[in-house]
Amino acid sequence: MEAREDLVESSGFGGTQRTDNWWTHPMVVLVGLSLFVLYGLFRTIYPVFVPEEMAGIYHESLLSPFYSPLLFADQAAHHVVFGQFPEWWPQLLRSPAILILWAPLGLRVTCYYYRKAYYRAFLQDPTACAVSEPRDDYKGETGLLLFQNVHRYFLYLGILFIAMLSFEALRAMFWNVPSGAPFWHGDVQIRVGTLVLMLNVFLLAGYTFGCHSLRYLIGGKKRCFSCPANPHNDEDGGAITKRYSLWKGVSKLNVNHAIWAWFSLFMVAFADFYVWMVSIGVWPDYAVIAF
Amino acid sequence: MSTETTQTTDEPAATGVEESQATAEDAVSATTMTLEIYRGDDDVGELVEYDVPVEEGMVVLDAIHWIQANEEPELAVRWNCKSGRCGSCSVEIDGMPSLACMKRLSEYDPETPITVTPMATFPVVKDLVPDVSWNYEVNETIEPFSPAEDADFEFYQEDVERAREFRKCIECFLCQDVCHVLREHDKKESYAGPRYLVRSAGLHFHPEDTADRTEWMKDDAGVGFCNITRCCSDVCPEDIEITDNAIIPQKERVVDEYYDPLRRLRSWLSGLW
Repeated sequence: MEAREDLVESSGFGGTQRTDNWWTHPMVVLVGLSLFVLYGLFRTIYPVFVPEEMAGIYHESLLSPFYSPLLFADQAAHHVVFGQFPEWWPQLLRSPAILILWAPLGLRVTCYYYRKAYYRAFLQDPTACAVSEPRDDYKGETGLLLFQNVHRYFLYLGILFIAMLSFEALRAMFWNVPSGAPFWHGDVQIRVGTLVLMLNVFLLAGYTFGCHSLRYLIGGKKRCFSCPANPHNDEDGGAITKRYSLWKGVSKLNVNHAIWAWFSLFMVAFADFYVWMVSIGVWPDYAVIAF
Repeated sequence: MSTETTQTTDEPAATGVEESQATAEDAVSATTMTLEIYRGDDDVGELVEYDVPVEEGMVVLDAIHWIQANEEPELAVRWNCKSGRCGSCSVEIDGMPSLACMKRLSEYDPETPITVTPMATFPVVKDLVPDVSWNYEVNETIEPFSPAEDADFEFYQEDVERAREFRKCIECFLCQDVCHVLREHDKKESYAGPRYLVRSAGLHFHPEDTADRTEWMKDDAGVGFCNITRCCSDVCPEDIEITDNAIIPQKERVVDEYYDPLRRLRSWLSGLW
């Protein structure tokens, strides 16, 4: 006879009676997210150390999503919103990515799917279901992690980014723009780069519009979609409302939120890499359709 | 089950006696599985091995019943319907919280013993029977269904379906068992567990319920302790999307009331005039 807690509860980090490969999933997540973070960090600081034309920020009408919107850039480019960096701006912070990447990063860090992913893979909280953890103390999201509740504000920013990235994908259809002219004066061409940016926006939109907070805000908070008598539903009722349709739409995306999250994460890195490679002449950017 | 033997010309022919012995041994090994079952109480116990003859279609609960009937009449297990409807036979099979009546023996490797232990989150009464009474104490703290006096109980099917999902719960407590907040950190004083966040959601999303359980959700149920790692959804035998449909909407409701600065500012301003 042994103490029950030793025999059954399998205490100690990684202790479990599970016989399946429970460590596979957190391991894949750990590697996948780590690779993205390392690539993202590298691309964020890369423009600080190389000339702007070598940094892979833009190529003619293509603008990498890592630097979009391009608030400041030292060289003239028709993507730039405000022009050159102010002179007082520290040299070590002269990367356009530093100014904007915090917003999509914040959306993903506070995302309900990614929380699960990194709580399991990085914090081992828990590594897998019914597997013992390394730490005894636990506050969940009541202590330091209360900041996760700011997720809906990053969602609002994320929707704004979808609009801006859509604009850049539209602009990537116009090429050979005369100097000083609006972008729509260029030749209309669908290039591979145009399709890459469009697919990137599509996947990011699928991820953003399947957000759990959006699902709640757009209709999930309603107790009832059809009943007028309930005082909690005074503004609409008596019929299934449009909010129900919106809620159902977001719910359909939300079911596969994790898949959208991973595909959009991979695609945003690939879109950046594509623009980088094209801009330094390693890859050609073929025209698929030219008018 | 019949076992077919094949001889090759390279092998010496077996005698009739040897052949029949080999066939019987093959038949036994092919139709027998070993279960390691926890025997003991809340303090001490042991994993005891039992060899169980297996027939097609048997589930783990059948194997436990065979042991009770043939080897250990005192083996304690809680069960009732044997069809996944009552939620009584919750145990841990090879470390995963499961209903013993819904897991076929054919799902497991016949060469490896299957471990069957009681739910780790709760005290053990005897063998595979846990004391789940804490759950009913939590249930008492939830404000019950509270319709308005003039409630209109006519509403659309879409509204019915949303609340119905939560009413599929059979109270097997597998979600409570697998939840690491309760299982690993024993936060029973601070956190109600996924089962009661499901019940609260079922009440809240009834179209005619009027109670506000947000304060209970934050302070008593401790929804902030949930870090949405979704193990509860993974083990639910009724496939209730506990995390996505019950817990996250209620976390968001707490954000609405307590952590959304713009909403608080709007409430404060609207209170000024």
